[in-house]
Amino acid sequence: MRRTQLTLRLLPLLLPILVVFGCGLTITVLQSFGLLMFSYTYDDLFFAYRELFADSWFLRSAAFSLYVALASSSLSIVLGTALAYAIWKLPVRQRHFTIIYKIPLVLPHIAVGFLAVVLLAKTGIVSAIAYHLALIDSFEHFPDLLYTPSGIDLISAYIYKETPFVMVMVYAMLVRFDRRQIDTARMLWAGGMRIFFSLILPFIMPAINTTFIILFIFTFGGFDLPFVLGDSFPGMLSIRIYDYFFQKDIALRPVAMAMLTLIFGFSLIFIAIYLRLSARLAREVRKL
Amino acid sequence: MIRLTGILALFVLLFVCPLVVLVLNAVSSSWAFPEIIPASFDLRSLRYLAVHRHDIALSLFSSCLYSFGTIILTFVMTIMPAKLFARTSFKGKSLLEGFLLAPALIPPMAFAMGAHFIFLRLGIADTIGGVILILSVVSYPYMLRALTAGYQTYGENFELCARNLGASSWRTLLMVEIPLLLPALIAGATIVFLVSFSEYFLVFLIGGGSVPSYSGYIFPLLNSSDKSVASLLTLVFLVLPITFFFLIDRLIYRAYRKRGML
Repeated sequence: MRRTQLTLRLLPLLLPILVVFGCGLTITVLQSFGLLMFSYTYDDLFFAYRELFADSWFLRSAAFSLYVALASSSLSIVLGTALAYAIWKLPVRQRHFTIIYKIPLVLPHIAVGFLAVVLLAKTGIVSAIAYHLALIDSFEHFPDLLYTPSGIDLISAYIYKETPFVMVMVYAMLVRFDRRQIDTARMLWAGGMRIFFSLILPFIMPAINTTFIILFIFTFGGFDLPFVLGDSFPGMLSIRIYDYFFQKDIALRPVAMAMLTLIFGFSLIFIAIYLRLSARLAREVRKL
Repeated sequence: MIRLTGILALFVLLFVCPLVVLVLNAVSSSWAFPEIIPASFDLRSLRYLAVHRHDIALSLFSSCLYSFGTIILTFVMTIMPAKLFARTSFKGKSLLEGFLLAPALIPPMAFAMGAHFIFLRLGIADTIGGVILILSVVSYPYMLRALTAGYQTYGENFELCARNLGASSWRTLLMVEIPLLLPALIAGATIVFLVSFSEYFLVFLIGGGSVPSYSGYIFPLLNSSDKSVASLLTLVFLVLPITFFFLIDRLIYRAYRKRGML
């Protein structure tokens, strides 16, 4: 196929990506240096970055976002993989009953955030159940789960939303696994744990890697859920970005753009490092 | 069987129980600590629905409009590239495929805030067209993957046959390719719809308040003290898409039966 024909066929896709994604990112980066900022001009190109690092809140928010993203993505991966494996081990006829696990995929993030408030509040349902189980004497003894630096509300809401996604991705990989390998392993006296960790896990690892990257970056830069769950200190980076973009003086908008530029750079570095690490791990497994 | 019961019980506890809480909340008059089941029920939330039905209907309609618009635009964007990726190999193909997944891997905020500036210049900020465009750029990877997989499930002989019989490429697309791609198209469209219909931030940023959206409508209610109304409205997020899926599933089934394809 000729090159022009090739380009022409890709054009309906490339054009919107170039305009919205490509130019959008470029504007974000330019505005972070104070360029193209409507009628505002800045003497210092790095004004926004200096502003960010002048105070400790930025690093604390970044650390909090990192912590929430790491905790929720890895816990979702562990839980989702275990549940997908459990479904896969069921007889084929029984599997379709398990479709209810897809409910959180349909619920929007803002709905899941609302659910977390209803369930985890001091006078919420979990607290009421704990009271009836005689774990607490009154709601005042129930621990603060909402809007705290522990981020438990955010992490559990993300796990609820993301576990089914992991299940879909891992299950799609599992159905391609050749079951005869398990029979062979059984004949060689391999136990259930051994079969999972030596046979199944290496096979589904590519799916787990992709899913982890998607979830981690999505959570790290996600906005809807932290926005419903209210502001807390130090709070997620995305909320800080929103504050600088909408609520403060428009002259401070480069600060929001600088945070976004750093998030973008961080995402790229994260993907590169993760892919390299997982490739190296896979090589080492093969050597064994 | 015991294993199935165990897994199902776990799934109900993890994924269904939170919904039961929403349903109970929606019909309770007040749910005070430490009741596990609310003590009294009333229809206050339904009355709210009746009073505000015009606003709710308008926001739902607008949300559905831009969500279906996004399905159509992502389809137009990806149909030719999907065929290209499924049927031909060319230099730099895998690199290009990787690059085309980038919008799914970068936080949307990072380019959406810059894109807002461009949309202002182009005059499509605060319009439904702008909302559809930004949602399409966020969600097309799902459509692209689904359609590419769809093209891979059948060979190009069907199309060659149609072309040999003198059908134009346009007619081949409509009469041969789209019917064969239908299952893949529905799979992709489902995800695109869910992503668009659920999105709060991007619609708020690009729509700027002039494009009504259901997520924008219920957002202030989620933080209000009246959990009953918020619970009922949240359930709509679940009921509406599932009703759509069910209807489409039935329609397709009947269409296939009529043509003897099932």
